[in-house]
Amino acid sequence: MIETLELRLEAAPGLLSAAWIPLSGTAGKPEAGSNNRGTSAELRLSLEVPVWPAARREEILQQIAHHPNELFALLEGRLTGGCAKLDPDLFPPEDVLMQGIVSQAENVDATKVLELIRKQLAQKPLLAFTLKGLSKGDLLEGVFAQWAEEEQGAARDEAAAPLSAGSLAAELTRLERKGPAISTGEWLAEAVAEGSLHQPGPLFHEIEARPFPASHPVAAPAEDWGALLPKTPKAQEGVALIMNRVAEAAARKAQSILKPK
Amino acid sequence: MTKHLYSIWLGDVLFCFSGETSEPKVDAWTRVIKRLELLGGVRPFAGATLRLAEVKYPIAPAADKPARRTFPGRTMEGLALLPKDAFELLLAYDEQLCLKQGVEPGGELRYWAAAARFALELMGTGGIVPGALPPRTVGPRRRGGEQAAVACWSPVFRSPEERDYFLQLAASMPVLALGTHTAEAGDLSSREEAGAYVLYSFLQAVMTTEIKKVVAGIEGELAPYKANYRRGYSPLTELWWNSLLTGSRDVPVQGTPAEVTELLASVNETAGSEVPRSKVEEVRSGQLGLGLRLEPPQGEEETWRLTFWAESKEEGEFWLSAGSIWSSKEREFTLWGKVYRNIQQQLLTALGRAAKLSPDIGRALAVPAPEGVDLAPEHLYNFLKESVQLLTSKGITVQMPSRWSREGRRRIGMKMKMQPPAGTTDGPAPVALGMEELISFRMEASLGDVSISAEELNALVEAGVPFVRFRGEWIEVDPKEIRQVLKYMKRHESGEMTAADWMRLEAEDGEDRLWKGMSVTGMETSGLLASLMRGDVLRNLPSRSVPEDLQGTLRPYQERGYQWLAALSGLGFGVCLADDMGLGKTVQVITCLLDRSLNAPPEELRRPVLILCPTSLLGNWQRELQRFAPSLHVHIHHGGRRVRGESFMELAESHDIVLTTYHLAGRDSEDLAGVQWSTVVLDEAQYIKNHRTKQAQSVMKLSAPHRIAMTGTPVENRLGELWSIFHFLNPGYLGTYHSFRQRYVSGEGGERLRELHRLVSPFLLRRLKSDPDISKDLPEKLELKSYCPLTETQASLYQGVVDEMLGVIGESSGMARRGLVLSSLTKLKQICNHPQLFRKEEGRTQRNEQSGKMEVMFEVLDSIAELGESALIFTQYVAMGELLVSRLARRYGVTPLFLHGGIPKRERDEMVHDYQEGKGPAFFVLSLKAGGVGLNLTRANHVIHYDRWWNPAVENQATDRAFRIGQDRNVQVHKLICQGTLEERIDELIERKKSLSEQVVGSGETWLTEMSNHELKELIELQGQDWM
Repeated sequence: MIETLELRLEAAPGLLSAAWIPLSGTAGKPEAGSNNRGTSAELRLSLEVPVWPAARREEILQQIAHHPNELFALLEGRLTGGCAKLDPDLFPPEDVLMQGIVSQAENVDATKVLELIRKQLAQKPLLAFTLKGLSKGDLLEGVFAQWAEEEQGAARDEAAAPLSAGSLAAELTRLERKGPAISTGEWLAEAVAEGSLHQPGPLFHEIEARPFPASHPVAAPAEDWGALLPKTPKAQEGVALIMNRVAEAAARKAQSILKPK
Repeated sequence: MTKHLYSIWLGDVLFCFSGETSEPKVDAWTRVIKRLELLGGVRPFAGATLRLAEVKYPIAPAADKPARRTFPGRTMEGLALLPKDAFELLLAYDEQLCLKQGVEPGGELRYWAAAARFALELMGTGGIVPGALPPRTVGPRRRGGEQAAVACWSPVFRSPEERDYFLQLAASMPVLALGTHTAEAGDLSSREEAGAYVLYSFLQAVMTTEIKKVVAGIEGELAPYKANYRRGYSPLTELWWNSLLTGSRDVPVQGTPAEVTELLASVNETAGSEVPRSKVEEVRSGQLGLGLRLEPPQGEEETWRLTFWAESKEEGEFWLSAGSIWSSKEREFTLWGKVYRNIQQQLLTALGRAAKLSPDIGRALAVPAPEGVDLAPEHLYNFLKESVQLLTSKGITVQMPSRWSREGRRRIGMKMKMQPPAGTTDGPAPVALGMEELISFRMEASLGDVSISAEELNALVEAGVPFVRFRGEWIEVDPKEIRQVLKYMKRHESGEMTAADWMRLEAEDGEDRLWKGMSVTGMETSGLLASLMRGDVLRNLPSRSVPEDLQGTLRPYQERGYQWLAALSGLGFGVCLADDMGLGKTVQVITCLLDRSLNAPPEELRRPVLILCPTSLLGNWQRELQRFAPSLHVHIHHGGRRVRGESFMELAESHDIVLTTYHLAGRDSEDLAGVQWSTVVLDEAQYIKNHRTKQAQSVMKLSAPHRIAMTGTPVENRLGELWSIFHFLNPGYLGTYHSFRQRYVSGEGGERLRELHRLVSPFLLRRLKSDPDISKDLPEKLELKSYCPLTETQASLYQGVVDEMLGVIGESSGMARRGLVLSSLTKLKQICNHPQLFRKEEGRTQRNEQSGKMEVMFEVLDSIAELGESALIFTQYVAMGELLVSRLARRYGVTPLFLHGGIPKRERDEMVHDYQEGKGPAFFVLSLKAGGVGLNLTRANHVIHYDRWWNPAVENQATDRAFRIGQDRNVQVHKLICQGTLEERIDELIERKKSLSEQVVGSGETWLTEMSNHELKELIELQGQDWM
């Protein structure tokens, strides 16, 4: 007899995959055709189960949409309220499961397996929903889309309620423009605590020493000043002239700094 | 004691400070830093101005206060370097040199030095581009709605390598530099971004000032490139362009707001340069939490509402309503560089968790898209008592109405209403209202600013919860506060306090205004005190006419000043006249004293007035008193032969005015304290700023019902001085020195300083030469004569020469006589200038001799230096010029330029050029006949004639060099005259015959040599020296 069993369930709409590893090595019989060496091997099951028709799924979504607390409970792995009442509809019929188990795995205590499956599904109701065709993603998306519809419909109908209406997008744009109210005080407090308030960042030591470029040709101005000053034809030339003179003055200054050293 | 040197870029200046807050320490630091010499002998701080700035800088926390998490700005006093001086500093910066001079620089100086070198590099490689900026709003907006833009030069990074360097440098910026308004004006999403903004601002400022210098040097060359701008026809860009190509002066780019906006946009678009940003990093994901808001019922309703919000858990706070989250079709959003995913799920999960703690929230989750839940009053109570604590302990914020509504929490406190003194409800204003006068007032309980009765208060207490319905609205209150007020009200309905206390309380005006532990929610002041605080006290008092005995005419603003002085000090308040130098504080005070001598009640008249001043100004006061109020009898208490003891008291009481110095206030404090004065006047009151000196303490001990302080310094910014002066004027008004410092100096600036301003402004009158009201009454050329005393040595030398000359003059004639007269007169002038001049001639020198005139000159120059202004000093003698140069260098740490006939033209031109550029020294010594015409020295707005030429025309020409068209500041001409000597008499002569001066005085000194012996004797005799 299979004493201990670890069961791993995976759910897709209409398809329950079960994999398990028999832990008491000798008792499990390997699948046909596989090696017989006393090592435990994985057993797999693929069970087809019925899904809810679209209308039913819609109905259930509606119901959950009206009970956010139940949705939250579901996310935590609990069945409450209306969801709890879905049992047994929520779970795949036992005879179907049994049939599937028996046909795919021989010499296995089907009852035990069934029980394990049922237990796990009860513990993870979201798996059950997925099997029925409503994955977690479907649930969430369905509920939220519904809420969005309702909210927007309500906003259209009545004059916008004071605080909660107003689109998210508009609010985000406003916030983005306003900028985060970060207190620079936080940065300062951190630096004071570290003792680094006056110190340049770590990169500084590498970049501090930078020699003045020797005889660097001064680029011509890349901007179009002529366009800005149409009545002053020599504008561009003027900028270039200034740039050159400034460069000369800067070079002279750089020289005079280097000298005393 | 090592002095730290810290720097922070404030957007327009590099603010250097010590990290100290105690005023004596700051003073000591300032003296050392001003003399700091760096590479190449550069003394970058010599001309720096003292400035107060709000800096986010940690001060060691007091033992009883917990360390702060946020950093308020602190007011620090330090030296502000303009971009050009900052550039010089940073290029000449050397850490070792600083350490050798006892200065320990902060790590940020190396950083800024590297930034400065980078600026130089950019300039050297063409990394510059023209730009335009809106001007910093300094004063009030110009009339007519016109605005001005400023032409500037911005850095541009023409290679990726340069760009990367900029970003690396920005990322390495020390955090200290980020705590400024400049940083906060930019993008604060990360330290790197903030650093980039600050660094860019620095580079822009430094480069603009340097490039402007270069442009000034090639202005001629640039003339053909200028635009043909015609006001009213040409676009503003052309004016901007011309401004860019002008370096020798500022050309404001003025236009209508629309034009200016367009200019800024088009220029900056063409330039295409902006602060570089690092590539967007991998976007981080953000978390949302639950926020709850408690909203009181509207109108007649009873039901409260608890609304749901998504609160950000990241740096940078925001709240989004649950409704907006549910109604969005998006499942995620990005804000401030973070991506928030599965937003609906996050909110739902947070709500679900909260529902476990609060059944009310649980109720809300029974409907789709839950946005909130109603709370009936009984539920509200439970929610407040049970749920709030649990929720907040799990990190869910619960906002009470006071947090988010404009109303805030209403404070229960007292409203105070001043009662007029008994029996004078309708009568004329009270005659006296000193600081210690008791004011009675009625008190009422109030909620915010609405009065509330005791019964209503009781009802509030009984509710037991912080929210109550009151007169139709829901408000949040503190039951403890209510109980406290009820208790107090039971026993008191009215109270009394001194006028000083009342004014202090009124000035506070903040959340924390407390009296006897209770919040003071409103104060109603009436009568004289109210107009005093408003500043229009003159309106409510009968106006006084200027005393007829006054020998002279007051300018309109002087008359107003006199009235103010007389009115307030007549009421018994100590007052401070703080007008700018040159506006005539002395004459205003003299008028007030004269008025009092004529109109005061008889008991007061018997008591003399005491005037204290620095030694160098004694002569000046004597002159002025004599000139304007000759009817007042003045006794001068000074000199080795001054009267002491009983005789002093008799002398004092038999004169109207006793004039003495601060120095003697310290030495002869017993004598002075023994007299009952009617008024004490302190001239240059900042001399008592250090309240611990013997002088200051003696002054504080003087008793007098009327007190006047005079000072030309901007005393509002020098807090230590302010306290001392007000402690003298109205003792106790600003509290003890210790409490004053705690409250206003080491505190958080801003609000506190405004409070201080409210406290002192009723008693402080300060006008500036630049006030439009004042400047229209001022002549363009303000002539100020300063009378200088001779030192004992000078007096005896002088007398010696006089005796010698008069002894032999009778026996000489013709050429010999001429020679004797001229040489004697020259010797006398030299002695007046400085004994060293005379001794050098004679072949003997003694070091460290004083000259009365030089001391007075230093007083004048100190004020000029403090204002950051510039002066030309003229003298006839090259030797005097040299002496001036050496003494000035010693005192101010910078060697002034010296121009005299022996300087070759090229060097002269360079000097003038350097001076005009504002390079180096603020003082320029010139020989009176140096150069010739064509010197442009418009930078100076002060001219000092150290000694006088015989011919005023030559003097005026010297003045005119500074006073020229194109200069928009008034010029002050200071003439230094030694009292009792020939200088004084020649001055009188010139004044008397001003219009004929050219004929009488002639060019040169011939008119002197043609005087008779008798006339000469009268001219040169040493007079009026008995008190010296």
